[in-house]
Amino acid sequence: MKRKVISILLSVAMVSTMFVGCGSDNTTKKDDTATEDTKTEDTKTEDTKTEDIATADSELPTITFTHGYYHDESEWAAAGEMRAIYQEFADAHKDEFNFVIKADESGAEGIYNTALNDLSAGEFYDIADFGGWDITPVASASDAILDLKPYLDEDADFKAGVGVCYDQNTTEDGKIYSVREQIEGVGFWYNAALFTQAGATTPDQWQTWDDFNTAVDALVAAGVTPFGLNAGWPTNIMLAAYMQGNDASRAWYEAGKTVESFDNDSFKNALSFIQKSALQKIDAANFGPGGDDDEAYRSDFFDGKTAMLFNGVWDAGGSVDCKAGAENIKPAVFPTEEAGKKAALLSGGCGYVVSSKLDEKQTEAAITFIKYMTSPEIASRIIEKGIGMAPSTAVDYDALAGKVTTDDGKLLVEACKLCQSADYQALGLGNTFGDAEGEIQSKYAGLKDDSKTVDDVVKDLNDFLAASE
Amino acid sequence: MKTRKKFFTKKNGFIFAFLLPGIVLFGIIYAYPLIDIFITSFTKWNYKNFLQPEFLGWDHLFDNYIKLFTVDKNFMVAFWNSIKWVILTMVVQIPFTLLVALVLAKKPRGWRLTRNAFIIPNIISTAAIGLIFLNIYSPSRGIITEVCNWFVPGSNVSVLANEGYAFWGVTFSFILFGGSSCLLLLTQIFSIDASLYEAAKVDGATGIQVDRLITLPLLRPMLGTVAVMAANYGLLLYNEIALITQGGPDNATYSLSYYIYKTALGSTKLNFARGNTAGVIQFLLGLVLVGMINRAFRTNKVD
Repeated sequence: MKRKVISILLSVAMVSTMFVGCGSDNTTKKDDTATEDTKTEDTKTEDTKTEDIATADSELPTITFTHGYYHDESEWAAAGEMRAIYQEFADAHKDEFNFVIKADESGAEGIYNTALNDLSAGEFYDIADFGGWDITPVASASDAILDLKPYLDEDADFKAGVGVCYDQNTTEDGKIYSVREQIEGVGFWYNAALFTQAGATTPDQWQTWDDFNTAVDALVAAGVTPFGLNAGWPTNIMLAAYMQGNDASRAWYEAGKTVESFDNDSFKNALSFIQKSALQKIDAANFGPGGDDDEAYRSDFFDGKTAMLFNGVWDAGGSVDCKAGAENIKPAVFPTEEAGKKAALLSGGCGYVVSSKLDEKQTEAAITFIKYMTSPEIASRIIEKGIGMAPSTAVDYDALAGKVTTDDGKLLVEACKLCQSADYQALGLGNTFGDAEGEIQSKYAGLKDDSKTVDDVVKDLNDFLAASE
Repeated sequence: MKTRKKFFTKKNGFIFAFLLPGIVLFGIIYAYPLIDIFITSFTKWNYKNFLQPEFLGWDHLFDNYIKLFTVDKNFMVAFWNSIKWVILTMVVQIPFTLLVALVLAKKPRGWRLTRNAFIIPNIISTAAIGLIFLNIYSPSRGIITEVCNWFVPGSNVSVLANEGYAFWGVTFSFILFGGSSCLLLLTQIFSIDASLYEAAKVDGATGIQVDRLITLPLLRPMLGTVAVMAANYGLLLYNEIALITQGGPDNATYSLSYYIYKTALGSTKLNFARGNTAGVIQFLLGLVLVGMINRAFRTNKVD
């Protein structure tokens, strides 16, 4: 009898535990919210990695902002500065609305993945910074996110603050679902000492791509490796930059995701340049397979082994205490086929995205936050603190150069100024071609070892387009 | 008169109650997703209709399958690569592991140390293994390039940047690591009745004869199990590719698992339908392989 009773109890316990486990977690959420609500300002610190939540006033509207700057300041100082910027906003508006700040420790990719899950349940973040992970196609198709264009069009300062993001992020149906306070500003870095040693003309004096070719030949002749590349990022930068050479090339490149064929003279010409004038100018030891862990092209430059580095303005930080000598590291933007005209890659990509399900006051709070983040003050602070490049066209770089005290800070300001003042500004390869970027970069190895011709690559890319329809 | 045996007895009720949680969990975690993957392979489902997959219609029922086999080159590369990896595990990993197990079973000097060393790669995460191989293959600091330069000066082989070599680069990152399988085989060998070996010894059988006529036949069911595990590893290969090559160069190292990830989640188009179609093919391929291996090794028959 005793055994039977125990067996019955055990069975019931197992089944009920299973159902409780599968059930809704509303209760838990409620408890969490209650706990969050009771947190006071005094208990918060800037370094808090998990949730940084302002004291909630139940009378005021509340919106939650999720971002990926979770890193400890010792790991990445910029993260601490960004959290401070967010907190200052929350404090400044605490009488108008509750601005709850959440740092997601899975970073921008985790925020994107969470958003995908939420979308499948018909939900979305109040406002989140997607840090380049483009959630807008799927979120807008699900009618979950707010069109920011009307707010940008009615406020000239706001529009100036988002800079290139306005045009770049305008969709085919004329909407803007995302803007950013930072953009990927990409030109390149060069080692002036190695250029001098090789007797090559430095990039600041180049007029066209022909000067690039002449300089590369001079470097090679002098035994200096001109640059390191891999089957990814740095080579993509070169390809995108070369496509800015002339009007026809720029027009085709701008069509990006809508191109129906890669059989285009400008594109083929750019691939040919990449093959003959870039990939085949370096030996295999300077060409990596690509991927997140393949950064030899970068470390070789800062070790003084290569003369150029194709990377963004943020790599000003790499010059600190580098073997190449910080005084030798200089920023530059790309030449074109038009004498003296320069080109840079400025990619806004996906940043702040706001839910379309917020009420009027919450929406207003979200827009106020984005305006704050794209204001000239914050833009200057982002550059001054060495966080990155801001899209705002209202930044006074000369004034900023006077304020910055560190050498790498000065380099960053100079690089940002060069990118912002370039004659032609275009999106990077990934933002332009979407999934096709991966296909393009997978062909570099074949182009380098001559196992593929430009026509082979074009055929493969067209096959990819056909398959992805 | 024969009385009909009652099915709904108390004993059966208890058995069912204890089985119920397992059945429900199996249904939710395995059966439901499997059915869902199968059904959605006949739909259009991407970022444009993220919340509502659309049935392709009876006239276009197999469109996703047809596209995979006719226009999607990356899928075909992934398909054949996965089959190649399955075959390679069968012809390289299993015989190699069996050989190691047979040698270790004779308990030569240092056999314990060798056994433990052989198992180490299997207890290290594949992420760490991936990073180790990335460094080994690195053209600027890797040992492979150095060794190739000794034999052919100036060859500067970059394993992962060459279509032909990269496949083998990925293969060697897992193919020789049969530590877990070796342990299973060793355990099975040690459980064989010692009197059989003594009788063989009395009859004057050589070591090879003992292995061929006693150990191997008695090892057959476990060998079949180990072969199924190894073949599945080859078929489902993902971590090594994601860490070492990301499918490149020129998509030469795509596997079915990596293709599914890239198509469904690694793309802004979020083509879940195509990814799930590849998933169904991978599942069916797995079933066929397991069936074939079980048949070949007659794992369900005991001598």
